[in-house]
Amino acid sequence: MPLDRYRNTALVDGIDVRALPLAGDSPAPASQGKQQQQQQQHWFQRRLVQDTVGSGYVEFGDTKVLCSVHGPMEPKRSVLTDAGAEQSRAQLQVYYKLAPFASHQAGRVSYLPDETERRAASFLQDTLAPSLRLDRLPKSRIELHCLVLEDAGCCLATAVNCACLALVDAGLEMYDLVTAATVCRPVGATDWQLEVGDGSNSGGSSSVTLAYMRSLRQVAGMLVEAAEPLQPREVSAACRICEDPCKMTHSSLRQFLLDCLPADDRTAKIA
Amino acid sequence: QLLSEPERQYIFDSVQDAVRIDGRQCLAYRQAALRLDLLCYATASAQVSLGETDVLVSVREEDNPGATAQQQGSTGSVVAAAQQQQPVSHPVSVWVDCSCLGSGPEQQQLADEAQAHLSSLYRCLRTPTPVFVDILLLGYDGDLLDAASIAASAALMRALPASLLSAQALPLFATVHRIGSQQIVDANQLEESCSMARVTVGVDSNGRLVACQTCGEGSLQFESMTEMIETGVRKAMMLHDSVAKLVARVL
Repeated sequence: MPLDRYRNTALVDGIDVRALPLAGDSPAPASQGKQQQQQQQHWFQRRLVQDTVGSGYVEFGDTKVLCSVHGPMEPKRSVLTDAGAEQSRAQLQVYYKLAPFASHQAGRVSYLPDETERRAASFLQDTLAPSLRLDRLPKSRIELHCLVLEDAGCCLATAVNCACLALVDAGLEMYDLVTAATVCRPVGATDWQLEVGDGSNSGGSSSVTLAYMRSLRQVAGMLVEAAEPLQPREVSAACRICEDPCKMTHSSLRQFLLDCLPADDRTAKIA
Repeated sequence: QLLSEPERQYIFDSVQDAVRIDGRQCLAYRQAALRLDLLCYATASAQVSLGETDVLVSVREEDNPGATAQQQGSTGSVVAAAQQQQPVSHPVSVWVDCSCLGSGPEQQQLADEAQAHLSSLYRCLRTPTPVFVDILLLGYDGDLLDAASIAASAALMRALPASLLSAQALPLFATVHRIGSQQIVDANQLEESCSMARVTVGVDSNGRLVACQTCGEGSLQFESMTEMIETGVRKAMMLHDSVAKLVARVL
């Protein structure tokens, strides 16, 4: 696969990904005996959507996700909630939708959000809320719209990365960048493999998605979709395996955001 | 639930000292009641009340359209006819209705989340005829998922033939909340509004996970998350024992 020379690949150390095994490939002889390190490059871009406060676009393999942030705007009032307590923090509302042409396996997706999309939206909300400083924006609401243009695997984790990029682009204060990764395991297999956006995971496998905040060293969210019953220690082991890809994505995203700054603003880099 | 800041702090501080506001231990469930076979038009039904949380579940099997009139006498023979004719497998379809609590956005969000969780709990279950699980929330005081999973699993065990269940009990949810440095299970509505993060685990009768998710607007350390998963598995096994004894007493 020729590398696209016009893209900012955002990796500081130039690792040639074509030499590394991906999920679904048979392991190369050179990697036997060593821990398999599977990675694929993310491609980030910001400011893609014009009429928003902030927007982000992430490609991970063939998976493409676009996020846009609107707000702060007037909060939704509810008769039941107490005006004082509820409005001391901003309300974060996440909308998640697959484009009708997005899915490889499911064919055309309906215009109305279905159960999977609602679940993904609430997962995104629970994952991004810990790192956002919502208390800095009382009496307001922030809307995050997440649109998946192509789903070739690792869709939810890519959406988390994209949403984080969009929120940073919008200038909202955050405690830390939230990055996510997914590992999957076919039914009957023993090893967890990193899920990449190449369409190799066609359903029928268990997956564990972990959203991690590297600097705070805390888990922002975790979702297990099991195709077979799993032992608790297998789930914990899968979460630990997700930690390294999350850290690498965190470095890539941080480097990309620093490179976006004008040259004279880059002097305050923290190593 | 409306809570002032001093009340929230009171609940938080007392849980740190392992005292809950209704006097329970941190890892103790409330008094629960399970009733079976309440509805005459459903294939099976169950009602669970866990404190003030009251859940009514109805399980209906759709008749196989290819079955002849004489085979539609009882549901058991319809299922047998379906298995002989067409081994088509259907996933279990779950619907949660919170309209008894009101029609606001919070109730709809509660219903949506519960529906997503319960659908993922029965993801591995396949039936020859379409099965519809309708969950009606009659009262809410926290811990909806645990109560709904007990009722739905008990009703499904009554409705489905034993050959389909392969002599195993259906999975149950256990939700573990984290308040400060303490873990609690079976939180009521006040405690739920004080907890920052929770882990919901769906566990089958062999102690294996079929679903696991963290929720809530707080973050967790890795070790805390692993401990909460282990606590959830332990409590779910305890729930499996209690439910098995209750169902055996009814049968």
